[in-house]
Amino acid sequence: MWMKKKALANELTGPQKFFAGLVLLIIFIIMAVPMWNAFVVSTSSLLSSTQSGIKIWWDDFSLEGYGYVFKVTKLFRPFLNSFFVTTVGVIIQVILSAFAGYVLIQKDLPFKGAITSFVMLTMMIPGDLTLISVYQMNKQLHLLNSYMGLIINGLISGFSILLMRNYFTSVSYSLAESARIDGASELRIFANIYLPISKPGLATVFFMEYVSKWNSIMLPATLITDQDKYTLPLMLKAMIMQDTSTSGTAYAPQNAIMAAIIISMAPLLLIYIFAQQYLLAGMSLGAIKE
Amino acid sequence: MKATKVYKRIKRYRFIYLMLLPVVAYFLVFSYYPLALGIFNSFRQVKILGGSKFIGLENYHNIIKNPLYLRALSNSIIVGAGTFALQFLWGLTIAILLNEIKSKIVKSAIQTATFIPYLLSWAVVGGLWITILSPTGMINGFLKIIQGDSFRPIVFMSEPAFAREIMIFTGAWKGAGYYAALFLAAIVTIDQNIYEAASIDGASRWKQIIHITIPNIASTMKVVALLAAMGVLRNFDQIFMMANSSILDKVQNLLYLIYNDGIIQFKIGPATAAATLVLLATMIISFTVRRLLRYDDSYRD
Amino acid sequence: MKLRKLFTLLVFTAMLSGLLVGCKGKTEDQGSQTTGTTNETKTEENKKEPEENKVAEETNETGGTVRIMMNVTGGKDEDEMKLFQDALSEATGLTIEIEKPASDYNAVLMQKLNGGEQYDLIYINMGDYMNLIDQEALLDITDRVKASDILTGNVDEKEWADITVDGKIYAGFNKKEVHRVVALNKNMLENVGIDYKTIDPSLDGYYQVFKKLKEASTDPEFYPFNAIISETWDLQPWMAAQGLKGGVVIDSDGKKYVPFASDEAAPVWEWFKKLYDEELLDPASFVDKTKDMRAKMGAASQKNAVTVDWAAWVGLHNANALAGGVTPDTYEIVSLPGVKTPDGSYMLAKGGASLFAVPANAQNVDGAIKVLEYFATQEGGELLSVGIEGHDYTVENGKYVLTEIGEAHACDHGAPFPIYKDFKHPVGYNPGVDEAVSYGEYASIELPIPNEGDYKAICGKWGIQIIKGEISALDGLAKMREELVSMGVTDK
Repeated sequence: MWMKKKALANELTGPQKFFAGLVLLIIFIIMAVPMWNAFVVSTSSLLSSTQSGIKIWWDDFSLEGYGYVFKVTKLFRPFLNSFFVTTVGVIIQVILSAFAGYVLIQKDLPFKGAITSFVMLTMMIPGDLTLISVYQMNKQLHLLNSYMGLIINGLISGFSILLMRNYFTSVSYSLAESARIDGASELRIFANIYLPISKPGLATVFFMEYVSKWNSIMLPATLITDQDKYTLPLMLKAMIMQDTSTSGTAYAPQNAIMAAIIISMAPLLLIYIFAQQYLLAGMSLGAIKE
Repeated sequence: MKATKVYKRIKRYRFIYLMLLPVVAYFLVFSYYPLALGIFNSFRQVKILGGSKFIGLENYHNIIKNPLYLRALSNSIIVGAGTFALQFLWGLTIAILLNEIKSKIVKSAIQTATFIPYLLSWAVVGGLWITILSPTGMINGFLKIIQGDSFRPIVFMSEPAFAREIMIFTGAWKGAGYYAALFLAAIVTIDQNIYEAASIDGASRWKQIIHITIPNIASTMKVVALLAAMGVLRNFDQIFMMANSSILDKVQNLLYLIYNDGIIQFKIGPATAAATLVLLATMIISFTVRRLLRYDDSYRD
Repeated sequence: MKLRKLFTLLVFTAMLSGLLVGCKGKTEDQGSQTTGTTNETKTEENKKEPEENKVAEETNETGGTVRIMMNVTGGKDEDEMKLFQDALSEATGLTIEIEKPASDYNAVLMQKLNGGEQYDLIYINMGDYMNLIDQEALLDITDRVKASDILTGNVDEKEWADITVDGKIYAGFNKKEVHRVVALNKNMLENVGIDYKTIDPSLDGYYQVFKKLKEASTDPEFYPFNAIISETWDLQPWMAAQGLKGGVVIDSDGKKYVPFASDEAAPVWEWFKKLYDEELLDPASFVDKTKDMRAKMGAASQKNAVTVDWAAWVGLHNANALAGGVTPDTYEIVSLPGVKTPDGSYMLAKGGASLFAVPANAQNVDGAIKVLEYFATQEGGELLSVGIEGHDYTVENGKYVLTEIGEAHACDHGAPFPIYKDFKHPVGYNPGVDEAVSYGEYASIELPIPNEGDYKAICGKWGIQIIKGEISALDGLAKMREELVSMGVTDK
């Protein structure tokens, strides 16, 4: 909206504009061409896709790569699995992150500093350190080979809590304070004042966590040995990282690998395009105050 | 006296604490308990099928006296810092230039295209760039056009001289769109009146970018830097996907080393000890970055 | 508003997919309908078999349950894995439970074993085998193997010797390991007037061949020769010129050393350097993964004419070409055993074993042995190679006919070459494989070492520097040896 309001003459000069456009164009090409290449290879025939070099245009269009991933690799079920656990998990995550974020904006809340550190430390723990015990934990909680396990592991991240908190800090605190004096309950203040104006923040957390959960590999690999509960990135990684050191033979053709990549990216891209306008507003990190 | 006051405040916030409960419970179970167990294991010689024994600091001692870990630490930091710097500039450039674009469609298209790499995992991005940098790939094809037929393709991925630069570039390539989105989000919240006032005073648009836009998103920049510092030692997937024996010396980082020496060989004790040191190093780095940025000073109300 | 819509849409679709996911378990054939793969008869087979197997399980309850952790072996997807499990259960009279992580096998295996999971068999490779023995995580089954007529009678003695560590055996075999041969593009050779059988088996002989191939080609991206140097995969047939064996070798004083790093190896490294300088060696060989090399050797690309690859891949190149409509008169891959050693033989590298080991906490060791025995029979070998009857193949008048699925699975369900020494492949190997396999007498395994990755990285790194001319061969080899010692790979 403000774009239109902007002063008419307040813009870059002609040559500057040209230069800016050129820089953007170069960046655009550098960032878009590899993906375009992946798309072209995914829609090429097997023979054409195994040729070395970079493909910018089709010389033999074919959808057999997509046929392969659905028929032979059977990606449909993993796709559904991923979609299901990611969506459910991230919705819960948004709610819980909003809760926690709200807690962290309370003025003179006892132990607030400690809580913040408690949250932030979790962002620094290397996975290798917890690898063994996370498995034992899941085993004790009977979360192995279950959708529940896939949903619960990685349910909360420090990052999304901090993101939510930062968004809440842009909301006027006095508004909540006056409502509190009027006798409104905490839950009511949270639900009626904070949540409605925090849509962009919620959307951002939703999206960022969707991306990371959708792509997560190590935990699902640990938790899931039932093939009917495999998730998409597991299949994708198995396709890309084929074990070349053994004398075994099975391997997926290049066009199928690229097709799998495109398929795995598509939902994220769609959500991104739809949510773009909210993301812009929601990504304002500001300062992490304590 | 004081204790009762605190108690009163706690009581006042009891519902608030309740809201925090699931999060605390989750972190205790899935982060802190495994963390404690991991650290516990780091002081032991753990056999994979049970039967561990306390060996004190031996695991740590072995790591510290192994020069590879020091090299890996410096690789981690060099590649991490380089990636951050490039990604930062790259993202900032995109954000500032995008802000100057009027056409909504063009803006959205560029933003989407630059964001796509962020959506992909390293398994995908690594493979893509290895192909592009191969002797028959796009870069060599391009160089050939410039230099003519006598040009001999460069095997970029086997040149130690390019190794870190490639990791830095591809790392930044993957994340630049993400930083751009963060910066753009901060830019759009800047009060437009400031620009208008400056414009009336005769400041050119370029000057406004330097003197208004950039200072106004400084706080976002600091957060970005801090987050990067927290993640700098956790880069594994990129190196795992893209390293090969000719360049390993230049890019092998801590987690890669832990994987190679610990996980692959089922050595739980050394792996957890090394990971504990990574955690400590991360805390030190984050703390230092925080200090350097005067992060806390500038935001105390 | 838009956000709410999007959100609602997402929740809705997630619920829907949840429903689909939930339903799948009940209506077994829904998956095949949606993916549209299977033909009618197969679906029927699908339904029939589990019932038959239930009967089988009940009558054979004495065998108990055997839990197996698998990596590459078994069914290619969920449905087939069930069939595989059932087929194995029926054949052994045991109840087989198979678990198969999708990726990061080593990390997952470590977590599972340390997390107290009990398996009766775990799939591992030779490197893991050494590491797990080191950790006392495997059960010594030497006596049981010796006591079993099938395991001793059906498996070559040499194979057992390869996995015997300090006189003890801790595992049985998943498959017979084959060896890497020199693969050649027969048609390209013929185009420059070379019959591959007449190639002089010396470094210079091959050099002349590469030279002719390069001269005849107009494609600037064509390189006659490729090898995966960064992982020292494909050096053995050439190092044979000096009679040097790959990997780590123990000398008469009991000291470990790497022959490829010795000064005697210098002429071969210099030969590689000559090939590189004259653009006969694909420069991508410094970074290529085996997959890339195969793509360039394949019919579609043909950017390389000579590589070193597994015997099975000679056949797969041909089979893939045939599937793509390319006939042998334009593209055919053949194989040779490489360069002659000073004493007139050849040297090829055999793959490190892929094994099923018995963990120290196994509950049903008898069952585990039974499964290992089954894998060492003709029937077991058929299950591991051709696959499951009625799914991958049908038997018509005593002849095995591959189904469409069977064709796609290329006679590999873990063991393209089963361990049974007299195994008769019911379908027949791909064209060219028999020739490649016939060089097996020259093949031997490398000594298994725990830090194989370090060995490969160090040899690859210095080797590449020598080939590029950044360091002289002798200096490079001295540095290679130095680093091998400092990393604890060798003693001298």
